Amino acid sequence: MRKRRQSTRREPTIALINIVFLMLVFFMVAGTLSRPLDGELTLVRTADLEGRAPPDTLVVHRDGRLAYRGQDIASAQAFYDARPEDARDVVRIVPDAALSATTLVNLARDLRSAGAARVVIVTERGLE
Amino acid sequence: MRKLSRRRRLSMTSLIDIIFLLLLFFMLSSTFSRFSEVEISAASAGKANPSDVKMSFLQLGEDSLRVNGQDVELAALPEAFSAIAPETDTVPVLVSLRAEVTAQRLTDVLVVLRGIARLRVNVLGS
Repeated sequence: MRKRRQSTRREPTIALINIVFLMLVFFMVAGTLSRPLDGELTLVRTADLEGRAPPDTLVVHRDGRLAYRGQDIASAQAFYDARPEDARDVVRIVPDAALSATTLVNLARDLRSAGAARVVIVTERGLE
Repeated sequence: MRKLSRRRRLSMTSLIDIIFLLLLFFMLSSTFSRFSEVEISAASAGKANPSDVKMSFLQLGEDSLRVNGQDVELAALPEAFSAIAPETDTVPVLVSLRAEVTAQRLTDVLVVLRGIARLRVNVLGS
């Protein structure tokens, strides 16, 4: 009687911890921590480009609205002026896939005339 | 003796507490999307091209692609450009966009053009 009760009580702790540790290690290794981009943004998809760290930069919505960290930005010039000195050389933008390309090119031109040396589009890499 | 056994049992619950906390934190805060980047319009604006270099003109529509007036498939772009002025080191390319072209389409083309070494791409805005 005593034996049975004890064994049912102690059951699964080690196994539980095993699984939970496994999940913990998986998420620590496989996930990357970053600030979330805006919710309703569909990223441009590309394949066969090198990967890079998740971006923390200017987001352009499909209607041409600019945002940075969830806050609307008035113009490319305003965004560029707010950047720290060491991040001004290369400016990254994250456009929505359905954004008009002409708007995107105009934005890149504005950023370059504001002083950026290179303007780079950040895309989502396909899993191939 | 009894004290010892009590001490041993203590840690398990708080350990699981902490581990669950960590697990939740990493599950909720990590992202799995992988990012990459492509430069838009590599050539610097305002830099004059030597006048003897022949420029190529690429018209981009949402489902059409024309190089110097001839329809080309996206996959056939490298061949189309290797036929143009094979002896020169650089081929300047002007990309003009139709109104309906999306960022996705432009990026697809830029990725292909980026794979061709001697092109100097310049995208025209409005």
